[in-house]
Amino acid sequence: MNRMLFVLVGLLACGGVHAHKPSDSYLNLSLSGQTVEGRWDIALRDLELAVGLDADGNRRITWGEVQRQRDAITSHALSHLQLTMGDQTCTLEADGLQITDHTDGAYAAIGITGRCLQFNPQLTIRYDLLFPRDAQHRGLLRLDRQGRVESAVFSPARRSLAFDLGETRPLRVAWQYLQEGLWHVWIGFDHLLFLAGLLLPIVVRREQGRFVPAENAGTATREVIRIVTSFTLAHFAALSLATLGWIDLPSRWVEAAVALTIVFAAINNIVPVVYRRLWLVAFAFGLIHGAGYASVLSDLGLPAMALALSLFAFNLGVEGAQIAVAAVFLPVAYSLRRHRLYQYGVLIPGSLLVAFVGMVWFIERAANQTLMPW
Amino acid sequence: MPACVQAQTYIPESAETVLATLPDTDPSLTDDIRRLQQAVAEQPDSVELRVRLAEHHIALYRQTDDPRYNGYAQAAIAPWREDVDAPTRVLLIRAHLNQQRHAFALARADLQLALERDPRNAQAWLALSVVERVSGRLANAHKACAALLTLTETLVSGTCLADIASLAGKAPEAFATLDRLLQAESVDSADHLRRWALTIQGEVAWRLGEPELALQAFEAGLALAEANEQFDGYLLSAWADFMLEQGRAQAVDRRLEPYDQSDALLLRRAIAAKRINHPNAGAMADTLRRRFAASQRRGDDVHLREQARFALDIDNKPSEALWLAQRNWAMQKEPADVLLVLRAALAFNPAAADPVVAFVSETGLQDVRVQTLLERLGDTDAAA
Repeated sequence: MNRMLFVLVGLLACGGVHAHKPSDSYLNLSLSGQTVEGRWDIALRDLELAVGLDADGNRRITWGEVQRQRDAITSHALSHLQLTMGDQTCTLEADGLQITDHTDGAYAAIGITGRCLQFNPQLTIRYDLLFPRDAQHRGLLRLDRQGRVESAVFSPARRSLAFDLGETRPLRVAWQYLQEGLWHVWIGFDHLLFLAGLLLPIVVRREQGRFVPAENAGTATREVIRIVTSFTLAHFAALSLATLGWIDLPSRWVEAAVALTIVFAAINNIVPVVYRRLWLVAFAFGLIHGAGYASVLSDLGLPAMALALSLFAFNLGVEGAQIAVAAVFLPVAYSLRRHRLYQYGVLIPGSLLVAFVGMVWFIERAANQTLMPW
Repeated sequence: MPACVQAQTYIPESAETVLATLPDTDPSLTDDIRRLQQAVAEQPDSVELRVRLAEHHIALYRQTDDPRYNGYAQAAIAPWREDVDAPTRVLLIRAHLNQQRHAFALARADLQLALERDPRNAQAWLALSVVERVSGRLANAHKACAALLTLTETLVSGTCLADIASLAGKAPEAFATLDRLLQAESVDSADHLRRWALTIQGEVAWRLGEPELALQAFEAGLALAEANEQFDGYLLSAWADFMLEQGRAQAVDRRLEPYDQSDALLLRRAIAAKRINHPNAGAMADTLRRRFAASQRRGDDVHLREQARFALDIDNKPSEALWLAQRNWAMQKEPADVLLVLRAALAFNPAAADPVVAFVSETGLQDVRVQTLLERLGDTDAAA
């Protein structure tokens, strides 16, 4: 009779009343070349089942209880996820644990970083979190391959998903790299800073302690284009050599050198060492910066066929972004060039600021220390 | 698409911050489950232990309405995922799980198999009657209820039969039968059986156009649930739909407030909130939208009925509502599903109602709301 009761109560709940939510985890991974980054949101309810969180047994899970189980949570999660490229398993590491809210409550958000030894377009993701305990658990995957997003669902019947990373069209890739290039200038603070260092004295330069305004707008514009383009060309050349593996510089020292170029450009505005042929300076610095960015681009994992096109597109993006910045800066600066406000209020303090930030960067990079929060 | 936007992460203010509350379940049941899990780990081949573990989880599902427990039950019987030689008790559990995910054909097949082996299994007959009723196969549902006559107490078989009869053109007789059953059985029957009979009686009275009698039955059922501290999502939804139709949105908002975890009840509350211009109406609708999206990402189809209703009553998107109502109609054919297709068809494309109109005339469904909609459909025909 007892079983009979079960059924009857169940009858009442069958009319589509689907309370709460079944168990899902949200696995967001983004893949660029051999590097994997992402976030994995797993419900606290599910982690309670998998590793046990409610230490004091009061049916309430506190942040303290979650933190105490941090290692158990991340190691349990990562032992149920596997990425392979070709036949090589990628390393996966947990990178922080925070909390996030989904429609049905609090989830642990586990940061994930990983690296695959060698790029191979045959990517396989294996997932078997919770399946032995909850057969209706689903792993909702969102895989971002440099802007190409795919969604898939892991279930007990489908614990492994295969992706072919090779199937990208060259033009599409080139377009992505053009955007990468634009984006790179836009978010690359050091790039903008360096550009500022070079552009500030275009409209008025210092010569023997005096300010000499540019004669006309045409000269100033030509000078900007010359500086920006020679920088890009050198950037392109160094980047190509580094990406193709013909030069291989230790990235920490290249990064430090990049910072030094920023300091130099800024000091040069105040106490000029070089005041003619600034474009030559820009070219030399472009070489250093290009070598510095080689690591960024090689992390993006270029398909060999599209390499040249991608590099070209990336630099086109860099050039475009620089010209855009210059196009906004130049008319304003040009019209203000004879004012003392620009000379003493912008050029000198701006250059000092750039020099200061560049110096801090140099120390940070050379000594591998963090001084500033970015 | 909103599902792609990642939610913000944060670090809670203090170690004492409570992030989640585990469901408040019967401690004796959870203790049993812990022991059974231990036992299954030691003897993974034991049918008895696995079946008992699954049944305990289903019992928890019924107490809490939390679908995770169905997943745990399914994991317990994982060795027989598609096995036709599965033990009969496993077939019944599997049928329950398939019915929950609206895989009615699979549920039916397992129940029929169970009944071939054990024709006196009352649980299997009752479950089969439910599956057939939802699928709109009323003759089969009637047979299953009739089989219960000699196997269970009269209130169970009688309510089962009256419910099906009310859908097949004998609503007044069904109401009278339910009245008689409830009078006669008032002393000995368990409260949850009476609650079930009262729910059916309320629905029958409402379809017959007797709102006072319907309200009386629903309220009596809810009083029983409250007296026993039992959650009855089906009854609450039926009552809420009735009250919304009676223009009593305020009462719906008030009574359903504690149950926002349930999608079906939150939907009713959101409709009520919209009608009374509740300040949280938009937030409730957003929560539902996100829950539907989450369910869709999983690949579940269990929300079609609610989604169609949402599109009709909250989003005012009749074309989307019709599409959802039609997909739902392919699976479920209860009066609520009839109403959804008719309403959406009237709002968007009256011709789309044809298969449902045919179903109503075949089965002889008596329902004042359906009748009103059919008349309006007739008017549009005449106009065209």
